[in-house]
Amino acid sequence: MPDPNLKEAASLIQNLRAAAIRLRELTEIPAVVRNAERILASVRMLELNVNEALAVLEGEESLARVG
Amino acid sequence: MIPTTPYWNPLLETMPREKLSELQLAKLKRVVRWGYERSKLYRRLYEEAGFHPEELKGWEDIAKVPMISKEHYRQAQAKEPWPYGEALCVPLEEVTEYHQTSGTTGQPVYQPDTWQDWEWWSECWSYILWAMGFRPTDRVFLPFGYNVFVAFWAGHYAAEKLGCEVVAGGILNTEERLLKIKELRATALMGTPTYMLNMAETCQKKLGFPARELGIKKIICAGEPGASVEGTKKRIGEAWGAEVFDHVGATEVGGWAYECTHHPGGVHVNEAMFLVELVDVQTNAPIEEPGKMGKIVLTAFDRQAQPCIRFDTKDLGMWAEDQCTCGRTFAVLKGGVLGRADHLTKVKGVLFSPLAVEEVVRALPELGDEYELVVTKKGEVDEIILKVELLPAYEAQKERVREELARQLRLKTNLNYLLEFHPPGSLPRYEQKAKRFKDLRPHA
Repeated sequence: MPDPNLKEAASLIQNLRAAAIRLRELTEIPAVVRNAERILASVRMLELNVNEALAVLEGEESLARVG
Repeated sequence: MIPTTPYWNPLLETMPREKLSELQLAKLKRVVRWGYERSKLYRRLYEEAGFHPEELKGWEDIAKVPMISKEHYRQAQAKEPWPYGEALCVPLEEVTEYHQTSGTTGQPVYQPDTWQDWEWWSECWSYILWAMGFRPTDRVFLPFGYNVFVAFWAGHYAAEKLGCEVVAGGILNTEERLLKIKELRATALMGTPTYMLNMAETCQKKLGFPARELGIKKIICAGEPGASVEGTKKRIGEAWGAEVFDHVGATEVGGWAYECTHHPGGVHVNEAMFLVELVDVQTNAPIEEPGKMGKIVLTAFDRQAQPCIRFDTKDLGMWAEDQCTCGRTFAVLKGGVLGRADHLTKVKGVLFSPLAVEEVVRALPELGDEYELVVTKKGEVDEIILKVELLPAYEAQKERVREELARQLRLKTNLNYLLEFHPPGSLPRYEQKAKRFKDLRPHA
């Protein structure tokens, strides 16, 4: 079984996604919107590396969307 | 603190194979659906083949998914929105990166990437660099012309992601690059095998000292199969006094395979990010058994803007029999990329791969690094001319070398050659992909 800390990591990654999406919606200031967009791209890499790997290792049937 | 694990991501790189297979199937279904829903190119391709993504339920259904080729992209890109046309899967304003293929086989294919794609590119390269022992303590010098070709761009970004110090050796000439490597005491290099040999030769000839004195410890090669050809790898390693690694990637696909520090005699396929299928060159029947050569068909699971789904690379490969001792469960392609299906041609009725000639030339210490192969027709008979450079120290032994070269070539390729010895330094030198094979027969 994978490191139990990774469950917490996966949960934090989802919090990061939610926070970045909310940030992007809160304002039209380009400096906020574009940086939030970049954070989301990095969050996606974390999802590929952690959340999706855990989903398979723990037998979840569905994987997150592309993008 | 620098992590001590040899894996960029042990969760994926050491995942049990049955779990890896589950992950791949789920990702394949997802990207097939993405292409179908987002791009006119894939939708038309699938509809014309009578295929719908819902039909992809298990691995047994994979042959139903039509393959895609460069020609499909070229045709789709002739349409709007310029320049990506119907291949594009995202709104044009989401594209942040442009690259293109070299165009050696026709009109270049344009490759769009979103910022997420670009993160993904450097993520894939991070697997590569970490497996090769790149660490934050490395100062990485990139001696390539940063331009429209993707080449080592992603290697640059990945090295930054790892925490390495990156030196962009862009528009400097070869001598200037060598001097900069010396001045900065760079520890690692990236380049084509051809250019790595070219740089080492220039170092000795123009600067008067061997490249191995520069202190480079690691060299990552790409763009040509050379670093998996034993003779070529050995030459580069000896010239630079460095550990040499092979990596495989493509503009349309991404950086999909790499050699680890255990040097398994080939390259690991990053099976968490890519699906690699081997199929029969003639029939497209799947090849799963080790040791049998086939055409490489690739899928990048996580690319958004213009994903490649069952892309017919026309490259050749074969599965290795054993797993690598490094602990990765990712499969190994024995000998890396073994050539091109469109270079695999019949000469005098014998199936001929130009890469076999490189193996022979680079294994003979009496010969220089460069060579050129020309296939032509004399009357009705095929003729192969092999041009090589004889090193000055062996001038007196020319006939012995000629006999040995002819013997080795017959042994490896079952063919006779017209051998031409040229003065050292007289054959063309290349910085990027070398073009050493010329088929000048009327039908070619």
